[in-house]
Amino acid sequence: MLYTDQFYYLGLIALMPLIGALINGLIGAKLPRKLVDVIACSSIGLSFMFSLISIKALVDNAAHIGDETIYGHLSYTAYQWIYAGDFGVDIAFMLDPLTSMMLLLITGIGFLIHLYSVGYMSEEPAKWRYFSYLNLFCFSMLLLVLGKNMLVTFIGWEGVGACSYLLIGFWYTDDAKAAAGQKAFIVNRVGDFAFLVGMFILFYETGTVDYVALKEIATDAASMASIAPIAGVASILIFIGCTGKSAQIPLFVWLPDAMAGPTPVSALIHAATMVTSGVFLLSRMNWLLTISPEAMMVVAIIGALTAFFGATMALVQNDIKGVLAYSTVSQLGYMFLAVGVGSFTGALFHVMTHAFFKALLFLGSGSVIHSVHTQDIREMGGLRKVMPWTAGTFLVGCMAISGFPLMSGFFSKDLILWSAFSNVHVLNIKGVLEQNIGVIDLLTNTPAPAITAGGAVDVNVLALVVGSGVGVLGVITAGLTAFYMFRLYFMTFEGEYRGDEETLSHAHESPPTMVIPLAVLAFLAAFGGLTGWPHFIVHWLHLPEGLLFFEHWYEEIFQTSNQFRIVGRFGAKPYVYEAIATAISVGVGLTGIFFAHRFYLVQPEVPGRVKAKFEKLHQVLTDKYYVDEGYDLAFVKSSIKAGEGLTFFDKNILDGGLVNGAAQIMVSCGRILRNMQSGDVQRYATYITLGVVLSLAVLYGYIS
Amino acid sequence: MLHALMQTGFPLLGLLTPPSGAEYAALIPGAIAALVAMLVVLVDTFHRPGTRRDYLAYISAVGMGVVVLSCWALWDSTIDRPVFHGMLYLDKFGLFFAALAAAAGGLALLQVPAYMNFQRMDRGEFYMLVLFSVSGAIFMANAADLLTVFIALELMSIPVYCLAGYMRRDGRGAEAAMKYFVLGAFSAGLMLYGMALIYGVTGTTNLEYIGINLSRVIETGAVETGFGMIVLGVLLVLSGFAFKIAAVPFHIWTPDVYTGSPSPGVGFMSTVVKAGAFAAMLRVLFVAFEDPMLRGGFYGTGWVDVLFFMSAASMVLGNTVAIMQDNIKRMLAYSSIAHAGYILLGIVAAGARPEYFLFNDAVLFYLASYTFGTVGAFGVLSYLGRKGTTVETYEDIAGLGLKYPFAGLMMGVFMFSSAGIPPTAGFVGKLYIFRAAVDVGVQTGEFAFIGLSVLAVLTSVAGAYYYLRVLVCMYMKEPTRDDWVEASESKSARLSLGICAALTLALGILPATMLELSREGVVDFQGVPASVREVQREGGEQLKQIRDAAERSREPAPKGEVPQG
Repeated sequence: MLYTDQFYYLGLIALMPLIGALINGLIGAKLPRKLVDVIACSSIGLSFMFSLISIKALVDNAAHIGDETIYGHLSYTAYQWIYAGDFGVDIAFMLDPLTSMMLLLITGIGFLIHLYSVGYMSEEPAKWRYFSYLNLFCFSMLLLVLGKNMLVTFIGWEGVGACSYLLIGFWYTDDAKAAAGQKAFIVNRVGDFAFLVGMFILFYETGTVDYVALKEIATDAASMASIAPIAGVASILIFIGCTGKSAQIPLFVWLPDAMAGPTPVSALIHAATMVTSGVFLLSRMNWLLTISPEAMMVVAIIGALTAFFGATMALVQNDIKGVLAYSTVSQLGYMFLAVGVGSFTGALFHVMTHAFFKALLFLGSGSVIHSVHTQDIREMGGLRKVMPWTAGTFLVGCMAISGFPLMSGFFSKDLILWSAFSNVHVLNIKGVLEQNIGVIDLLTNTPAPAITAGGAVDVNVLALVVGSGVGVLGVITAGLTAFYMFRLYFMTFEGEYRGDEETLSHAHESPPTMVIPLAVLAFLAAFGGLTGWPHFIVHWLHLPEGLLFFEHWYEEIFQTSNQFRIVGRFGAKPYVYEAIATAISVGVGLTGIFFAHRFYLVQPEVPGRVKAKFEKLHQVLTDKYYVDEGYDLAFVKSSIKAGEGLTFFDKNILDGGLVNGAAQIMVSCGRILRNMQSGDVQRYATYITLGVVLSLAVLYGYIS
Repeated sequence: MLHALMQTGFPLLGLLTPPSGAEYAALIPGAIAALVAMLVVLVDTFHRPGTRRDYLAYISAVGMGVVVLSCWALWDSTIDRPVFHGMLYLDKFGLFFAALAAAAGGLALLQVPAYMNFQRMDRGEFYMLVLFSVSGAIFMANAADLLTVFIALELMSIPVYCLAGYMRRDGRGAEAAMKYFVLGAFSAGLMLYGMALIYGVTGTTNLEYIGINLSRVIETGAVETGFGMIVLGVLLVLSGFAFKIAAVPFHIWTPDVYTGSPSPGVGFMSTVVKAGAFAAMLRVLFVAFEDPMLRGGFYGTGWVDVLFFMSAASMVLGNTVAIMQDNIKRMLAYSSIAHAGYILLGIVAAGARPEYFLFNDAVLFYLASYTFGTVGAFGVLSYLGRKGTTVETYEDIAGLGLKYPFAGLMMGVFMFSSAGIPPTAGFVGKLYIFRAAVDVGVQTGEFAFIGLSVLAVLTSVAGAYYYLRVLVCMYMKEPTRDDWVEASESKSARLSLGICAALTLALGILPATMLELSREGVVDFQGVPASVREVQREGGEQLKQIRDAAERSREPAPKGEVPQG
């Protein structure tokens, strides 16, 4: 196993986009427009190449022990960032199987989106600025996933927030867009605050923020006990940080507004990469999260609720990007559901497939917007005839996200839903199984030997309710997803065109720089899931183990969580149950597609009738459950009120009432301040005296 | 008495011998600043009317650069006892602040030509005032005696009062100067009264003697008779410092004065004056008022507790009221109150017990990061303008980020730093302060410290809102009028902004050097009692180890272990 700290390719991966951003940002305005494109695309392209080389090195250096392959990690310490006493943090990077996939997503999909942007932003005068931001975003995102300690991740975490803010507000002329950018940033700051506090707690319990060192502590039976008491709190705080970045309840409000930015930005940042960083972080810290079953439950419940509510809001959107935005919220919910039920592999699998199909769908929608210059799907329809490539690839994306059998979304969603029903959190500490301690955790009634033997596990009621509850919500959401996605597809590309003829005559297929990324992504969205087949298929058809590649790739990362803390409650060979679950989710998905077909192609009058019948519900959904209004009332208004109050307090009570009143008394008593000309100064001086007197009184009060 | 002092290990001999040649080194930084000021006065006498005075800015900046260099040259030749009969210190702590004050002064002065040309107030006095004030701040940081503290305080403050009223055609300038002067005199009077009380109890003005005598007075049961006087004295001295650093409840002058004063001057007074006052405050608190009874915290109620509440109030009030402001200078005034709160948090943590003394390095680092960010932010406001008008409201800067990319970019760096967003200096500074507070809270089990640091993190979230608003206005709003504001052509202003931004980023990305310097400054802080000296010694050894380790890692790897990849 290669275990060097000098694998400097990792630094190069992050450096390339930074160089691109600096060149374009500093002198981009003076460069030829073509060169700006070349610099932006080649910098991220080089980054992609270096990622491939690094991952190859990781695989080449893996140790093979029996059947097992241990990849370990490659790392590179750039320099000591902060060093003082016992508090030392390096700028250090780490590459392991978990980072590998994120690297490929960021640089690979990032490259495609840069390419797409060349066409999409071709008429934008400040293209250099756009590309500079986009490269800077990639740099920050790479820092986030490559970080070897939590602080480097945090720098990237803040960086992607800032870049996302810059890119959302790119077309600054629009007040609403500027506000959207600001909202995204502030909501994210709230999450970051929790993240920072969580990190501090961990640091003070363990004395390190290094992932490798933390993992050692959290997976060792003896030292784990020391962080067990704070694991729940720290996990929840970090999870709150993730709800900000990954748009979960209650901090999801910024993501739909963030669609104000250019479409490629939505595809890269708000679908494929940044919003999944929360899932990445929780997976990175899975050994911490799985210590606390309660925290896991919270994550699962929040994820399931987000998935469900996001899907319901997507049902009534008429903005093509709006549907995709809420769909993203909903799909992110799935990923957190997966994390919460202990299927980290499922979560990451979905991160990958979602990146493929959602980037594809966003880019497709961008292609449509580029062509017809509207985002309202009520003014579209029948566009398949003018833009066949876009329509074809979009259809692939819709099928993938709906879980159509053998498309990528089918595999990942299936794994998540199956895990929700089957997984149960049993063990807290490695080594406990071997020591044969009786009942191990509050979530099961089965003694340890039975679990080790691979038998079925008797689950307690709470765990059962939560597990199947989130599972059922997930299945319902799968149906809703299929329905709204095909609603979107049918209203955009099928049927009759509903806009004005003038626009239709100008509508056209997009240029090759936009279509090529679509085609590549469509290929990935269709076949990207074939790396992780359901177990029962592999087992029953005696297919090679290679079809479970995705799972094996991560085995080592989630070893502790998967082997010691999370087990399937149907025993070692739950293939029948698994098949039933798969059948249900496929059935639900197909039903959704069927209804969308009936409602929006065959009988287009039905949706209107349904809407009329459930007017109130429709209104609630259109108004997004009034969450924005609630926040406005609870936080924005109240902090403005607090500010006003304090200003008033500062100006009038302290300065005016109290001080002035006191001054009046003093003046009338001793006429001390009479000779001072300026009333203001007089009052201020009195105020300072009062400050001293007050402190003194308090001090004396304490002392005596 | 003399005998008793000998027993406590006080370096008494230093007080009895005439100053040696080496002791005059303590004067060098401050004296250079004063000499540069006089040079500027002299040069300005021969100024040809009708030409610009940009060269004065350059002369001053070079002079300040020489001050910084002198601090660098003196860095390793510090003296471990007070010099000039216990009037001044020559230690790394003082040199750190001297260099900081000189750097901030020089950077602020480089911005002056741009502002003065917009204002048509191109006169030489501005430079002289700032330079004398820098000299005062330097002596303040090095003071070893209440008399030196007070004289240096006045030397620092009086020029700043004049600066506040520099825009004499502007009614607000006159108001600002008047307010600042009257209130400054008032608070200085309070402080002086406090010093007199302390002198009355202890019979000395030397900080170390005061420390020793106060402990004796308190120990020997004179508490019943003299303790009230001591507490009043401590409190009055503290209030004088609190006024200068603009901590709640002594902040009330800040917004008015900042709004009325010329922008480069505000950049100067919000950083150098604050830094000087913080330095002298640390010195007085940790040298003279270090008795556990006065310190408070875990031993009762004392200045740690007073500062604790000041810190909390400053953070909350500063950050909340800043949200409401429409004037950027006013917003920055309230934000500087909030920053004072964060710095006080560091002092509270470091002051809680003698063994936490080294946490003061967070205070030093934070002041450095705050200084460059703030001088820069006011510099951008000076850099933009129009004949006879100043730029200070959000409306004034609307759309300027795209029209003048340089100004926009610079403002972005400074606002990000002030808001504490990585990779800028502000982030590392805040991280350090919070870490110190949390560490003390965890080690002592006092929840109040953790509560205060959580409050600090929370209020800094609010801070993101109003700092960001500046950038939103610069980049995302349409200019209100086409011909409203233009960027100055002054090269010196651009140079100053560039340096500020470079330092702000450098302190964020490569903070190691500055952290080491601030740690050294704290380790070499002279005059502390024996218990703290032990902590300092350990800190010094730790520092040495770290440096050795870094030295080793910098050496090329032995052959045969060529890095792979």
